[in-house]
Amino acid sequence: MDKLVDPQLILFDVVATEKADIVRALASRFLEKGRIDSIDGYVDAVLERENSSSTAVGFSVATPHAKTDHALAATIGFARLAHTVHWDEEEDVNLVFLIAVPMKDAGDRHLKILATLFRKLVDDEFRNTISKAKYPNEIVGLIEDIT
Amino acid sequence: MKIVAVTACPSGVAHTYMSAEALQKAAARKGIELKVETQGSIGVENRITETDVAEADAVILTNDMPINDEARFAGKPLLRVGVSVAIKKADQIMESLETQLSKS
Repeated sequence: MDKLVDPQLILFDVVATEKADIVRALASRFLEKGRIDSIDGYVDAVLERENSSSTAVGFSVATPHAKTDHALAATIGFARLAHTVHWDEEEDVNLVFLIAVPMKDAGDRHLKILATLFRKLVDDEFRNTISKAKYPNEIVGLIEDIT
Repeated sequence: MKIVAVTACPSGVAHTYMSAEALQKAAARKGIELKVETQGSIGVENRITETDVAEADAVILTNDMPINDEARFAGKPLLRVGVSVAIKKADQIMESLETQLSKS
């Protein structure tokens, strides 16, 4: 399990009204794929991080993440929402990258994953594809080089 | 034309790297040589050396956070921009630098 992403961790048309629902929907896939050991434990860690400062970064994108013992393998999931949600007071979001990194991984691995993702986000073609992709493999193709 | 830039943002991750990449792409589109140092949570990456500064025609610094070791750019034409401006208007930044530098 060395890849961070696989097609089953990509969700389209997710119906949600708040960020916890979205995180939970992706976390249940993470659990099914053996990438986390507890939905509640992992989701709590993500929301706790989110409460310290919002992970909405502009372009209708949010990048919730947690480095936690509940993560078993470094993982990126993606959800595109059927409708935007109010992610924080300033930003509405409909594109969500959820990241899990085990506590035992190198101290800044989650930051390096995020940094690579943020660099990709300023590319018009990247944003166009994540907004319009029809197949999970299109998303996988965009982010599978992240290590 | 060679430009050096340093980006940093309060959260230390998102806008540091997004603005760095946006500037890099805009420079590449105009054929401008640009080196961008990021001062983020990971630490300093792609550090700008004394030689880089000596060769640079201009310096871009983001102004959302104090930039570490700003003194090394003393005496160089300096442009300060917000990270969100750098992300959204990188092409205009490169254009205006080009115009200003061609006049001087």
